[in-house]
Amino acid sequence: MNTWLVGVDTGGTFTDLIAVEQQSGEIRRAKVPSVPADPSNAVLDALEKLFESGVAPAQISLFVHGTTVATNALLEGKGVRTGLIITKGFRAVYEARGWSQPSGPDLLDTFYQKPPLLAPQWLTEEAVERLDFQGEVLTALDEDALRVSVRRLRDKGVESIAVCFLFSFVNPAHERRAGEIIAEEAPACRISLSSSILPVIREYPRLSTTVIDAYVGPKIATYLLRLEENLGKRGLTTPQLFLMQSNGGLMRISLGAKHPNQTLLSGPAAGVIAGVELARVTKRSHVITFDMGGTSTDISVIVDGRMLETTQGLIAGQDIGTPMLKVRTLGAGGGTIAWIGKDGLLKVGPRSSGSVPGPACYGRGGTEPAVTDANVVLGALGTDNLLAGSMRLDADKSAAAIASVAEPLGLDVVKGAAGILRIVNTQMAVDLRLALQEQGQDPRKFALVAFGGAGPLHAAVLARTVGIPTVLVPSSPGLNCAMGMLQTNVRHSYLKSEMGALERSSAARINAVFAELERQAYEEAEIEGFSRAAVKLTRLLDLRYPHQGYTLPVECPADLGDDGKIALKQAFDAVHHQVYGQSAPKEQAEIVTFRLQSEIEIPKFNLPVLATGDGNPARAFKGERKLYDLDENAFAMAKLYDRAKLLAGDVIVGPAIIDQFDSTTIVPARQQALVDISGILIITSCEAK
Amino acid sequence: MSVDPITTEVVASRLRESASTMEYALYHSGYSPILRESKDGTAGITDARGRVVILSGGLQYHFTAYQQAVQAVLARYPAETLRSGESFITNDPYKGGSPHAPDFCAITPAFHEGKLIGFGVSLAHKSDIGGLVPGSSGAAAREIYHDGVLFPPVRFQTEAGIEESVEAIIANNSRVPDIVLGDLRAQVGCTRVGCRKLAELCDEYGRDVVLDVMQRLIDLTAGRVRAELLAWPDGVGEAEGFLDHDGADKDVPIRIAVRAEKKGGRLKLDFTGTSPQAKGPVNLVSATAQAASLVAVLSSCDPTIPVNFGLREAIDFILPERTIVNPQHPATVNHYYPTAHLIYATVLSALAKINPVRAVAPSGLGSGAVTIGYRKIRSGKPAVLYELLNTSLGATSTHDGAPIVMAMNHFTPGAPVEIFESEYPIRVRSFDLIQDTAGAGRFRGGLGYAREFEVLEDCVLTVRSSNHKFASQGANGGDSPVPSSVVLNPGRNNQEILGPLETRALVAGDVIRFARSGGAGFGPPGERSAEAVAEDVRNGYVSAEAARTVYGRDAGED
Repeated sequence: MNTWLVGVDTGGTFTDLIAVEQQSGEIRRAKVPSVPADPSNAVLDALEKLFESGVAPAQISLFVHGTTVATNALLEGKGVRTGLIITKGFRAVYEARGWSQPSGPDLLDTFYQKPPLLAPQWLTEEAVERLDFQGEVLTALDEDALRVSVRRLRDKGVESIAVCFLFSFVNPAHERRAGEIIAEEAPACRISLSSSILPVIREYPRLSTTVIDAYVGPKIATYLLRLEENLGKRGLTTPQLFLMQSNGGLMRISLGAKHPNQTLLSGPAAGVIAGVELARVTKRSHVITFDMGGTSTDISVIVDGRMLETTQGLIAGQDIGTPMLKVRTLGAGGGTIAWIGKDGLLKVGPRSSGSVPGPACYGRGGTEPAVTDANVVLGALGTDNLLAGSMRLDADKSAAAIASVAEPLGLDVVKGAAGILRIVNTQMAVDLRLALQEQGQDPRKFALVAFGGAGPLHAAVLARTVGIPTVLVPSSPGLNCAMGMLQTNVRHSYLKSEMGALERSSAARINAVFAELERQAYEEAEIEGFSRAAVKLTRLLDLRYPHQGYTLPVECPADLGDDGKIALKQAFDAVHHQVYGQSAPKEQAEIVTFRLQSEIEIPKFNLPVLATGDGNPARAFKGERKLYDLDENAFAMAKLYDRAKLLAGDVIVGPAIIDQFDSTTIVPARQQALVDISGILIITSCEAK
Repeated sequence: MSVDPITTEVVASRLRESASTMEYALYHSGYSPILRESKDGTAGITDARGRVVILSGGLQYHFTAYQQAVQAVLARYPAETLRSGESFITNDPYKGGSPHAPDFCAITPAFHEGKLIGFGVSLAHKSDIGGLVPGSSGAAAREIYHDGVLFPPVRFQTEAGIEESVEAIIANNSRVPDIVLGDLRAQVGCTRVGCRKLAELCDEYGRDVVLDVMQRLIDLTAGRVRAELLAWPDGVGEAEGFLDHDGADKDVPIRIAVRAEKKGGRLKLDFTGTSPQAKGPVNLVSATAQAASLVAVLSSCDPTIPVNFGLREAIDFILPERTIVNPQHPATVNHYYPTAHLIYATVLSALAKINPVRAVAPSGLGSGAVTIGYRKIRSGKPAVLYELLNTSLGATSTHDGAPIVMAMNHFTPGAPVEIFESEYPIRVRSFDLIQDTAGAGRFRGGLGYAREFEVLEDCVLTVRSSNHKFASQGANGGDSPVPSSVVLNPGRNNQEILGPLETRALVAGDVIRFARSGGAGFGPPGERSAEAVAEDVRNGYVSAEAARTVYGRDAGED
């Protein structure tokens, strides 16, 4: 019997489904309008389409879902009424938000405002309690007063309560007792304890993260309950129901209500996963994912096959410390608008025309020039390129829109369009370089994985600009994120801050902290229905030199011995040298955070093998079109190919344009594309060959 | 030659990338909490004459100091003698333009094919460089020689490496030498990164193109300021503001007076009437006085205009000599920040009278810093705890002021409580909002707040604040906020109210409370909506009593 792996990704406008048959690699997809009022309806609609195509519900062996329910609640300020309990005397911690710094004009704008508090002061209660920096009790928790506080919050109608006490990451006893009291006095409330959600030093980011958890938690809990029920009703029998997480891993749907923050940036994370998979398949250790969509571009750097994590996230102005994949987002996509700045220079973005009205060439009333319009004028996109399978692009409207910014600058339409591409490519190149520099990495070691609707249009020119020698374009660039959801494992991180000099921390103590984190990991694995043997654990220590504010992770062996600490210190010096160009071997290293990563393997989709042809792409040739060369500042004739007809081993020499259902790939002059055995286009410079 | 608008925008993006790279290197390799947590430093690129082209980091007002620092280097080391691989430092406010002695400037000439094309520069605060008190900036300082070691522009590094003797002098003069040298190397390192990036841009786009774009960016900023000024009505606006005193003569207020005159595309800022230079440390060098004024001009025009040297071009200054805003050597300037903040607020008020569209009520006054010096901390080494003191922003014509923000730079420095207590013998007893401290108005200022510390070991405290007496003035009928205050051992028998400029020896167990001013109000309080007043009462920002007496609204009980 056929078995299908199914991923469903909810987006703002559309809900996408991708299904892969495990043996044959056959892919089916469905696109349905999203239903903001109840997103689970769109999930069912998409499944219904799959069933109509002949797949039976019982044939689905794995179901992965990327949801934006929590993200939207945060973006739209529509979380639940949330209470907050803090250590007495510290009401200003949340108001100050002393962590995030504004950037750009906000730095100097006298009209600057801070983002709103998700738990306002009238829903904030102070608890009489205080710990010192070693977790010793300075003031015992006043339980009677706390009961009164909790009742007050309950009577004000809060659905969720966050608790964040000072130094609870060292000693969680007071927070845990507060949790028990909340459960007794306000049993209907969801409880978020900072010592469980993010037990790391720095009270503000911990508090902010905990409040986000409380604010969106009930929303996603309700949603997932309904979704699971509906999936059951619709006949899905597999117990393998998962959610995509911001850390790039999966978790059981049943665990989603417990870790709502992990669903916040699952979409970009799925794209990174697909990039890692592509790196693996093409046997590359260093890749940069480049996901250029309609409104923005996501960039992430993968070094030695490892994804980078960050604990300094910002979503809708709210600071979040939950570990998630490090993705740089910049406001540059196909719909990004070009305009003339007050300085008289041409600007591109960050404003986007969105999907409505969209670029001028969509003919939906848009008159401002978008990046897509520039690509139409310069021949990268043809007017017969179909948008979402139906609409033709209107080149005259593109030209008119471009003229509106080109003429005032004394440029013709072509020069204006070329200028728009140069500027947007530069912006993306700047971000690529900064992303690499932060890791101390050399672009020549990397391949650029291009996907999203617009990624393959820009990637080859961009890579050449930055000095990245190779571009990889997956077989379905527009579905890459959805595929990423079917290419990963269950993954969780468990953290604990406990500061101390590495030299003076005994190996026994280090092992004991990790043992406690392992207990938590096994406990959650059991809740998720996995055996202990299936759980693969990695221990990491976040280290720094004394006085430094930033840490770097170093892998720590299980059952560390005291002599093993020397190797840890050496490994830290080495990684510090790699990232910052210098190290201080004579100085001690300090432990800041213990980090345990658990990974549990589940069935995955493997890229299908493409038939091998004779190396001549003539069978896919479908015509010619004039394509503008940004280096030569002139049009040249480019060959047009149909990607669906390409076979493994084909070599296409630029200038060439490769069209497919959901994307267009440009192979510029002096570059060539090779089709590999998995259908991936590998674009390199001709000169290098 | 003139570079086309597309290439200009492209090269401008690349220059921003260079500055961002410098900033990243500065904050991430720095050692001190001042640099890594409070981000008290900037980095940028100037042209060959020292005119700032681009600046990265929160403290944009640093941009005037860089020009003076580069010119001071060139005066001592003529351009034709500079070599690739050399880096210089200076911290002398009079010679090198740095706001006060703890701010070291690193200057590295950038070369392309042997031609001097500009400088990589960075200015950042040092934890301690000697002087009267831990943290160097003492309230009792009466001349700049009291503020610690002073470096004229000197060579710090060559192609061969760091000048060991210069580091030895710095180390010998600091209470926390390791941290100061760690920060200084991070700073010099980031300027060298900037020079490398600038040379690479010349390789890529051609040197003439890059130099032309650098000039063009300055011209564009100047042009945008001029265009904004042209759109204002011609006119005159005057304003004044007061510091309580200079720390030496405690009965004499210090006056900042400014007369702004806008005519066509030019603006004149005349500080005639400002108090004579002070004995105490509240003076500021003219570069800083101009910087604070120019940041106010920029914000009154359009905050999206990039800060660079062009900002100076449309503005004429009259800064009378031997006054607070243009003192004569060796007057001390160690306590410049509260004065700079006052100048900023006063210039904003004067400009609001000419161009009411961008008018706002001023932020709470008294920004500054506190330093606490310990003979030794848990690590066994001496340490200086340094914290910047914020206030809250004033209200605008459209919304309430933001709480707890550095005025003039809009970020919120201050190490986390958990970092402080883990690293220093100190307990933070509270970090709380104070009811009824915002200036009332149709829109109210941001609420004032308090931070209360208990020191756990004997130490030396230096308070560098201001305006415990004179609060900022509300705008368009709005009220003033409650001013800042500092109290030693509040509520105890030995309670003592401290002035804004004090140095004290504290003993273990002493408690020090910093109450910080809220922002001023905008528009008459009677015009505030009943819903907004009720919401403020509900949140505890405003008491029910103040709702009745100040706003004339019955909001029931607290």
